[in-house]
Amino acid sequence: MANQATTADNEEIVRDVGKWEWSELFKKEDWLAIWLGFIILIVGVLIFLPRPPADLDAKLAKASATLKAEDARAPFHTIEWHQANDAKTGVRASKEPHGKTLAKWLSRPAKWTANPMQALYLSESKAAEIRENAAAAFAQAKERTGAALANAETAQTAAAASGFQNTELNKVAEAAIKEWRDTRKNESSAKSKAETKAYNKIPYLIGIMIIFMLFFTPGAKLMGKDTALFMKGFIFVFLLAIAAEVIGGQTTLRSYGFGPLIWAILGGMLIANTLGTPRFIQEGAQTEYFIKTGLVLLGAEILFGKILAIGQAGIFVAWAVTPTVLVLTYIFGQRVLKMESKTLNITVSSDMCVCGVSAAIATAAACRATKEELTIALGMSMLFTAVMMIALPSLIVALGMHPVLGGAWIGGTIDSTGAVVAAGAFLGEVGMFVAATIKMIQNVMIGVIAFAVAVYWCAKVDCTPGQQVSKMEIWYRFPKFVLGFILASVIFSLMFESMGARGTALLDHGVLRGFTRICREWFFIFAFASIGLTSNFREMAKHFKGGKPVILYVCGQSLNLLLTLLAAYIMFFVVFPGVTESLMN
Amino acid sequence: MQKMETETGEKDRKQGGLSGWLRLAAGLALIWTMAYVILPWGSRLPVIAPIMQAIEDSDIDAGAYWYTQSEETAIAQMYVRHAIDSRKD
Repeated sequence: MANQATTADNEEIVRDVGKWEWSELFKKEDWLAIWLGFIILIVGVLIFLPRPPADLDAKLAKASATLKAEDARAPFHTIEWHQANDAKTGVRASKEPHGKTLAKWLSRPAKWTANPMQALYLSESKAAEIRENAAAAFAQAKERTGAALANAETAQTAAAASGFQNTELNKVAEAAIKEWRDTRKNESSAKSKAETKAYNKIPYLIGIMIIFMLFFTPGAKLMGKDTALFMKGFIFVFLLAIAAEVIGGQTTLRSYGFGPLIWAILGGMLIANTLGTPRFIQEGAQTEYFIKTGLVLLGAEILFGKILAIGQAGIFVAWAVTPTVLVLTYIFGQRVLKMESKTLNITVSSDMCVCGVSAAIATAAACRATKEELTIALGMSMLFTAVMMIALPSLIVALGMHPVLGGAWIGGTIDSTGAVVAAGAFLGEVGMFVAATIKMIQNVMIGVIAFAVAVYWCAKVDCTPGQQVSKMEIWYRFPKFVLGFILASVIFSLMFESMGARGTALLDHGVLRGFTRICREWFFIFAFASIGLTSNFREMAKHFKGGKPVILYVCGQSLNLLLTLLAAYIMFFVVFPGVTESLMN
Repeated sequence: MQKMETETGEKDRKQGGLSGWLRLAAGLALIWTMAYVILPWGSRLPVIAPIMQAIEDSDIDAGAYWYTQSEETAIAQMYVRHAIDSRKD
């Protein structure tokens, strides 16, 4: 089933060769990842779909009717429109008792500012102190919201009295409504502090560690691992993941986008390259097993219907520019920079132009890049993302760029979703909405990219020059977990579309965001801790020879910035100016 | 990533000892310095401060790497989809 082959540089590679055995279905991690991923998806569906929020359909229908009526009534979003929109957005299966219970059990360490213990434990006395300190601010914020709402109602009534025909009155009403929304947002933030509750996450974390250990152990046994060593090693991996979560939850680091994943890798590498990683930990540090299971779950979050969110303009910006930049950057890496490792080239190209961390993970797994290559790609992505998150919105504001253009530019070029939202927020609400939506559409593309890379690698790259690869050979070599990844995406996309408005409440904000996404985040952090624990600094340094990965990233990102800006301008201001107008209204 | 399964784990066993612990302590000190000294100092720079303020005010998790991890994205897509659907042209 697996055999050793030799490449030109005599590097040992474990590669699938042309032979199929049915036992692969329960002995290879690719298949085990599919089974485990689908078990979680099925459990999620069984928990959330039969238990919708009370009066779900009636609430959605009422909100939709109000939105439609208000759209017809006024040329701007009225108070009633916002209230109906809030009601529609607020209907979520994850807010039901079963969703809250799952969230409690699966929750990761909390964010903190000065005391890292607060990531795991908050005493009642400390919670009471926070509540007391926040009470006055909350009361004030509440009062401001009430006053702003009254002001908005007065302004809207005046505008309505003129049949919404008076431009000046409309503008005043719109500004008053915006102010009410802003004060409401501040009130919500003050409220969460004023309602701080004591917590102790440690028992839940121990519980979830045992559950995940039992979940992964049978597969590890089937793969021929020493079960006792795997379990001991898993405990260590879990503890490292928790340490990374605690570090990544620190407010400043979180604001820069240096989240837990990078700390899991760095922490693991620090241990591996100073004290050394004992064998029992290496047995538990099953990177591929965790990452592929996580990727199958990620597949379910790739809902193809989402690409229509911002119409053809968004599809063009995200789906035409991105693959163009990906292919050109890869060719540049091979022909101009002459990068020795094709897998590093495609992983860096993909994380730079698609969506950072998630693209790097999916592409690296699809082309079988090394752990060090994935780490390099992630490290560069996080550093450049932090820089771009600050530089790009500053430039956009300094240039006085239109928020829709600026938002589309940010969404199409900054790697990770969180950084896109952060940078977009600096442009105002519309800019942030456009940026986040473009990034979401780009996220969806990773399914297609991972599949294409897997096929291309099997058919063209992983073979000797001039070798003709048969279809069956491609099948033998194909990383099978990609099938689970794609299948999960197709099934959940079809379910999401067939469910209409219920899909958002039950699938997106139930099964996915309320359960499988949280499991997937855990699996990825286990994978990244494992990567760190089994990585070697020297190996990584080899890839940096001549600074080629950095040059590749900088050149590719420069091209990405130029093409995305051009495409966004053409789409939102030349071909579909109506879309821009609607977004601004 | 498969090929590294055969490559790692063999040559990095010679670590440990006092120098290993010292290097580990130095690495942790570096992380601490970055989290508590360098990045907070950077946050106060005039170019960075306004963006950091916007992130903190809106409680955005800038480290979220996928759209389902971002609450703002859920609200954004609903707003944008509605704006597109209700276009009159």
